[in-house]
Amino acid sequence: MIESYLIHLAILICIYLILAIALQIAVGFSGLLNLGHIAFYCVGAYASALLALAGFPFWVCLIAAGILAMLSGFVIALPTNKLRGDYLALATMGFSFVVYAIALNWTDLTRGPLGLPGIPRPKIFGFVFSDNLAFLILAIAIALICFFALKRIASSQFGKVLEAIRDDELATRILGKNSFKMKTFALGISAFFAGIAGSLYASYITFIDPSSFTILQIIPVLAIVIIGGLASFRGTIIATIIIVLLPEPMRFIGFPSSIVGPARQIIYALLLLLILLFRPKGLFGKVELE
Amino acid sequence: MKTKIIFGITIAAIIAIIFFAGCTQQNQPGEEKIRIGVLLSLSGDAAFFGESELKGIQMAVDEVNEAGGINGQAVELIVEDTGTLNTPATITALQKLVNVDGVSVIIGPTWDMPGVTEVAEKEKIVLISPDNIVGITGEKKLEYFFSTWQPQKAEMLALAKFAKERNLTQIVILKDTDIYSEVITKRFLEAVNQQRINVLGSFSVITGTKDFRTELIKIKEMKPDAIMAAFVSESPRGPLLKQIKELDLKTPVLANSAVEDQALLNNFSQYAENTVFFASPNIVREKEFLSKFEAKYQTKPVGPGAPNAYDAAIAIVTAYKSEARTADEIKTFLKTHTFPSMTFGQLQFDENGFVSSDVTKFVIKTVKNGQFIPYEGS
Repeated sequence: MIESYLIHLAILICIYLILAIALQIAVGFSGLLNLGHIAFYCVGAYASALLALAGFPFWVCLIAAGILAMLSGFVIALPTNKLRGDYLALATMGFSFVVYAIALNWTDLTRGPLGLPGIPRPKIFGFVFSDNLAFLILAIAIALICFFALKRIASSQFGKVLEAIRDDELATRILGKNSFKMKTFALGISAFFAGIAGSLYASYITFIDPSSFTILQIIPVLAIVIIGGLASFRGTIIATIIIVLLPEPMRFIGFPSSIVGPARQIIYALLLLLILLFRPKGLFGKVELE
Repeated sequence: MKTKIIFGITIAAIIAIIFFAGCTQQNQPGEEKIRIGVLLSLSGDAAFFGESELKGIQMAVDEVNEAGGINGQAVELIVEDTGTLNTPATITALQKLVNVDGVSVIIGPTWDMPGVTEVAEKEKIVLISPDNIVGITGEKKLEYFFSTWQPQKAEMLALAKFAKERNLTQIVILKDTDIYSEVITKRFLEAVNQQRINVLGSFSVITGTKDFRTELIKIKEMKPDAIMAAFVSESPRGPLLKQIKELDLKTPVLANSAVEDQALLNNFSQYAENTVFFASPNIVREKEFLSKFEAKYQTKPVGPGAPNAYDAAIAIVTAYKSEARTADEIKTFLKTHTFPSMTFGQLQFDENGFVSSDVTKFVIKTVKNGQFIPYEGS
């Protein structure tokens, strides 16, 4: 029976891993402090859920989720292209609120707070991934594809230019690189994979509503990126495992029921603080967060 | 590099040791206990509901254990905090309760989370919530879901009837944008249509909003007979009532029964005096419940779900006493029997797992002299 619990945790790790490595492209490699990442996750989840409920096959839903999220990435990239640091963070956070408000208020499409129930589990070549173990295999496969695709992008010439833009945008532009185009692509790629994570989440839980995509959801994802270290894929994997699993052992500490909620949260926060105190650049960080 | 590796290994080792030590926790031979899972909000905005509910459940279980347990077996609660409306965290906690602790029945969650209900149905686990009003928002029929909260249709009908009797026939709705407020509003609209009451307009605010002045100024211009305030959280109600007084709006406020919480009286009772009206379930054994609760905890329940949570625990214990052990046996028992209840006297579930409307009576209450009391005119 314990395997089912571990399988569930492993599925969450896969979903968060895709979400976090996608954010690495924007934050770690391009230096774009994007706090609107959850908006892309939300767009992906809703796009996938609506298409799945309309009877489209899983692969169509998955790819469409990525493409629609990528388009929304371009939408936010265009007006914010000249912004950096805190200003970009505020603008992208605003975008997150806009997408949340749309999910909440466009009730004809999203059913608003009532959410979308009964999202079907993935079906590929007639095989339905209704069992969690089967879903885990699918999630691992998708996470691996995303991981290697993003790793390849990061180590390509395009990735190197992104790193150059992160370190010195002016110098990169003097060298003839179109930083506007590069940053737009970076945000679009990041959003594409966040959309894929959203699609996977929607088909796993089989229900989505706007409460799953509040701005607060960015905290664990950003924590993964910072703790793992900026621009480090290896660090992101380890940090994802730590962040997803860290609350779990605390469930087994026998706190009195009257303090169980706050006590666990305090310990969780303290552990995160300790990690950052001892490793301010994150576990495998190459650059510092400005 | 060496430090990094040591650091990583240390963290992994700590997680692994606690994790697997916990996972291997089992009942010791000779002390077999009946385990009941509890999945409540003990942190965040919903904690004012969840903490009271936990106390209600604990009180019921302590009574059962003091009386010798269930056929000699003690009852053990395994409590998990879900945060507030955090679906992924709640599902993880549910998976742990089901697959590690091996529970067949879970009391919770606090506030509606249809995603969690979907997973519980899939896992075939009995989920009995003290305060859910939706279950799931689709047409799907639920097998394993139950709620001991009062039926919303009947509550809103009682409120609409009260409005009609007092000639409050022009109403404006002010609500949160969450699932609870959405459903409450839907039920209220059905009820006012039935009573031929006119709704002048509806204003939605993002959940958590505490400044309603813009909406209230617009409402004042509409000159309604009453405002229907549909909120799940306790935090906006006090500021709303205060701002109504500040803007000199002399309009009565109709509310859903979740308004009946001690925190409102503690902080905003002067603004609620003779202003707020709501249909409260006529808690049949209210005095008995409150005296037991106060004797045990030296305080009144803060949130409104404590007696409902007590009822949920008693229903489960009754099922266990009749030798129902698996989730299928428990759900069949719950669907086919009536149970002693603090709130309803006798509790019976309908085919959707909600409290049967027949057993619920409502009384209109208001705030007078810093207390929730029945409205004398009703």
